Amino acid sequence: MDKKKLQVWIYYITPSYILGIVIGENIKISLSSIIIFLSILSIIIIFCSFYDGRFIKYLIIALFLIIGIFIINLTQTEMSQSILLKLSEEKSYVKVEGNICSRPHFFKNSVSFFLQVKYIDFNGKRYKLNDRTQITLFHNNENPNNDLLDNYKKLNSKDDLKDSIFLGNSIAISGRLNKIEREISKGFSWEKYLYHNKIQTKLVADVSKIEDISIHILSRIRKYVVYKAEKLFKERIDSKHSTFLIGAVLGDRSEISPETIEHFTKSGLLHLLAISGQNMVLIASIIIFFYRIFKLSFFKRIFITIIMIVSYTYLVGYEASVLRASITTLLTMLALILGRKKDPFALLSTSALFLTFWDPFSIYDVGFQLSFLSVAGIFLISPIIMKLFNNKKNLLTNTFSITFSVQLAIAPITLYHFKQFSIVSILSNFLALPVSSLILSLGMICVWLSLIFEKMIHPLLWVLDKATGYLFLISEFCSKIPYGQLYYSKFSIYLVVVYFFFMIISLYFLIKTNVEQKVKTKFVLSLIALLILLVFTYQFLLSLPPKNLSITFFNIGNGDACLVRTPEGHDILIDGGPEGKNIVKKLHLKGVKKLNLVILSHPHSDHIGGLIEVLNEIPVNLVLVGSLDLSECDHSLIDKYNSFLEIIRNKNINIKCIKSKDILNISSKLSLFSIWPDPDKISFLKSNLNNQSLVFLLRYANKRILFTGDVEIEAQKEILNDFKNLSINADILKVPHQGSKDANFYPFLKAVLPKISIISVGLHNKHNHPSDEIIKSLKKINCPIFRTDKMGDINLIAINNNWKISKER
Amino acid sequence: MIRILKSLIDIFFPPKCVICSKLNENFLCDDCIRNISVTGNYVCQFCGKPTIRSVNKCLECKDEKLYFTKARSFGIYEGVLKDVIAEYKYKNVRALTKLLTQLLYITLQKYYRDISFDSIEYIPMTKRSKSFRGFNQSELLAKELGKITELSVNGFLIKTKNTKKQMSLSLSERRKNLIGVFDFVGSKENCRGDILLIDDVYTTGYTVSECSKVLLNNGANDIYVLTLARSLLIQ
Ligand SMILES: [Zn+2]
Ligand SMILES: [Zn+2]
Repeated sequence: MDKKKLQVWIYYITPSYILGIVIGENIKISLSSIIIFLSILSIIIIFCSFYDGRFIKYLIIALFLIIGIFIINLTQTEMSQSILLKLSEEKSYVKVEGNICSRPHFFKNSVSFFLQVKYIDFNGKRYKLNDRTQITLFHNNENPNNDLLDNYKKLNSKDDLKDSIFLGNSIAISGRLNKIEREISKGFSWEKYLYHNKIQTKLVADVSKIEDISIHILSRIRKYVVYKAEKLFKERIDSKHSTFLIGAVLGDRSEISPETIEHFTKSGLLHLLAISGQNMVLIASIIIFFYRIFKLSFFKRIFITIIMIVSYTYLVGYEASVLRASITTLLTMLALILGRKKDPFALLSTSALFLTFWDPFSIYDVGFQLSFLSVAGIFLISPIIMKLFNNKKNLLTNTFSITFSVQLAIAPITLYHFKQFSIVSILSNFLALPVSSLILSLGMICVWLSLIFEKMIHPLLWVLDKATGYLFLISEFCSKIPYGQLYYSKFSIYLVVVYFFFMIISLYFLIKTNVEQKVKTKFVLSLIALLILLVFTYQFLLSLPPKNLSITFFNIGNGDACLVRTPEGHDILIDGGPEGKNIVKKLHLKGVKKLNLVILSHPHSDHIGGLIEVLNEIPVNLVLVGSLDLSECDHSLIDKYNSFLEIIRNKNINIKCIKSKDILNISSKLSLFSIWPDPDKISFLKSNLNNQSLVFLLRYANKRILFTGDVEIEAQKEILNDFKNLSINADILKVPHQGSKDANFYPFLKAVLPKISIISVGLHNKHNHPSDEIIKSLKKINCPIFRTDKMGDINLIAINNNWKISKER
Repeated sequence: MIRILKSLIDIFFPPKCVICSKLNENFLCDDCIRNISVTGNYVCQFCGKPTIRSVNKCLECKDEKLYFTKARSFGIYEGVLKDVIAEYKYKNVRALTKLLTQLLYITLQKYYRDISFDSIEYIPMTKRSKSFRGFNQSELLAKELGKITELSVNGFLIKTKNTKKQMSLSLSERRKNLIGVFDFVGSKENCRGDILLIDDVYTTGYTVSECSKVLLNNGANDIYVLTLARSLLIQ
């Protein structure tokens, strides 16, 4: 055979195919033209393979580029013709039947998952189809209707619900289909994520509308295995550690506490919570260890490995990173059977090809991207790092070069998706890698053994508990290291491309050219130095105060959170939104390192929830609250407020209570003028905590911003009475109570007469905020409205006498 | 059909040199083959050990009672050749069979050109260790060589006992370790004349000698040993 013809074809096939998918999603090409093009191209290829081998490389690239475009166009056409989509346009009431195809997420009073729909009942007819939809079930068990009581008895607690809602179970649900609007925007959005999971519709139903069909025997077995292991972990291991193990070994992350997730995110160890390629590698090595002992025959051990890999993949659900790892392992087995040497890159490309062939959208999956990049990093970069150590192989250099190269490879993708990158991850992974392998392999052994001998693994569980404890210690320690995080809100896809472009060029220089090793070492060291310099310069620039007064209303769902930053370096936060909405991360992304002033309008959970997180994470000088009468509030609210006060006490933060007409001078330019509440008047408004909200005017030079908390009509009337002679006129108004109709009082709006009004509200909230009435009133006074649910974070910058408004997603 | 299948496999498992990863159809590139230290012009006329000048018997085989007539190897068991054999035996890269047999054939042409062999035999493995490894490397090599030379490969020898690893034993123990572990199964009529005995590595010669003894006892005239590598660990 001609020597020129020898090529690693897969190196051309996979990239061109993936490129085809990316191009095809954005460019529509008609099917017939693709087919004509394909057939012409294949005829040329056949001819060329006979005459000249030189062009065949380019033809293969073109061929797979077009196949990629073709496949993605086919998928999109299929999706646009979906029956569910058509029915959702009319908001039809349907009954769908199928398998749960994602791990369900349990919330306080709802559960959400994806359903692979097999049958649909509509208008008395039954149709067979193959489509997906998102299901949200509400189980509000506070006051169930009487006729539904039986169902509630069965399904009233989370654990009972878990009996029928689990990955792989077959269920039927009736409800109204709704279309998920897909917005064409850059960057990550939930709607885009759903679309890439082939989900275009959603069905919201009450939990009583679910029927458990559960004929699937395999999914029952899976549930039994998971249940048994979970029980054992929970009984024998510290509860915090056991939830981690269930996530890391069995892939069920639903019960891991937000605190643990935060520590693992910050320390860059989050990948340990997900099932990753590491698990598969460990399974393979566990099996190898066992057949060394039992001397199993070649074919038996290959057979057992395949069975174990496939069943484990099934057990933990088919996430992209799991599939990547198991396909790679299966291909390794195939290489053994065929007697071929495996080539790591060809393996990686082949599994990418299989995965994208199966589901072209998987290239958008974060797990897919991280999984491939980290393996590529290990193969490409770590040999270069090893050369810096003069190839001295030991546990220390090995671990370091692996963690360093993985982080280098995944950094841009992490920054792009999460806008955050943990610099300490190099340290934390270095410390955690040996323990994590031990934990994962022990954990997996325990899961299998728990099915046979339960008692015997108790000592193993003890070791597991201690090792997990050590891992938690590492993650907690590393997450507390100052300046360990890199926050960058504007890391665009172009920066990702630029980063990889430079990385590929440097790699080409280092691997393919014959320059002296000394020069190469210098080159690598200077690259690393440059990177470190870049990171620190960026961190420094971010901590500088803005040039002009800057106000940001955060999109934190239903609730308020607003950051005010002055050029003098004063940072003020007004309310923190509800719990678990990442307000701390949003502040970090803004470069906030400390807060001079934190203001709580009133202690409802959608205002105080995030503030508790902020107080725990960011240094605060002063907290401002209004005088409150909590005598008619429920206990959970009072408890929350007390815990808020306790943190302030424990951290020795100054706290001040202000009443109406107080003035607080923050700096020579910045002052706060309090308008409400009047402590003499709140007693007769105590039944509604909203009316006790702190209302104040923030004044910076000649700029006036009115913050209103959640004050409703009654309090607004009182304010107008009080301020007959004093102006409450403002440039910017934060519209009270997310624009609820209870807060719509035209005279108040007219008295404020804002140039800009901001409604801080969550998308699709169940209260139907903001109300049409308040929008009408605002239009009446000719005031433009900006909503966080439509725009995301709203940023206002005062330039001379104007406000520059921009949105950030 | 087989060619199509092969090129399909080549897409997913590209043929690369097992030593330096350069693309090469034979799984070992020419540059790496050149790095193998091949046995030179001067070897011990009996056991094939590379020597400074031609000798009839060398220090190593002088005092040993070895049953074969001659032994020859392609190269010295070190460097590239050692790595290649390790890939072949332990990493299961059976795709190397063709190339390694070519190397054996070169050696056959070099040293045994005048001899007309009646059949080929190979060093057996016990059933258990063969199924553990999945294949017997000597058997694969012998069968492939049989195809090239058009000689019959009989496989009359079997190994009945699992022995301790030769490497872990002292010289005197190694000999004892092998006594009586090989057996003859097959027809004595077909076991005659000059037989070519194939193995991967020649270390002390005890293994091939023991097999030769069994073959001689069952009717063979002369046994010529051919191995890929010659170990020089024992001086
Ligand atoms: Zn080579
Ligand atoms: Zn000799």
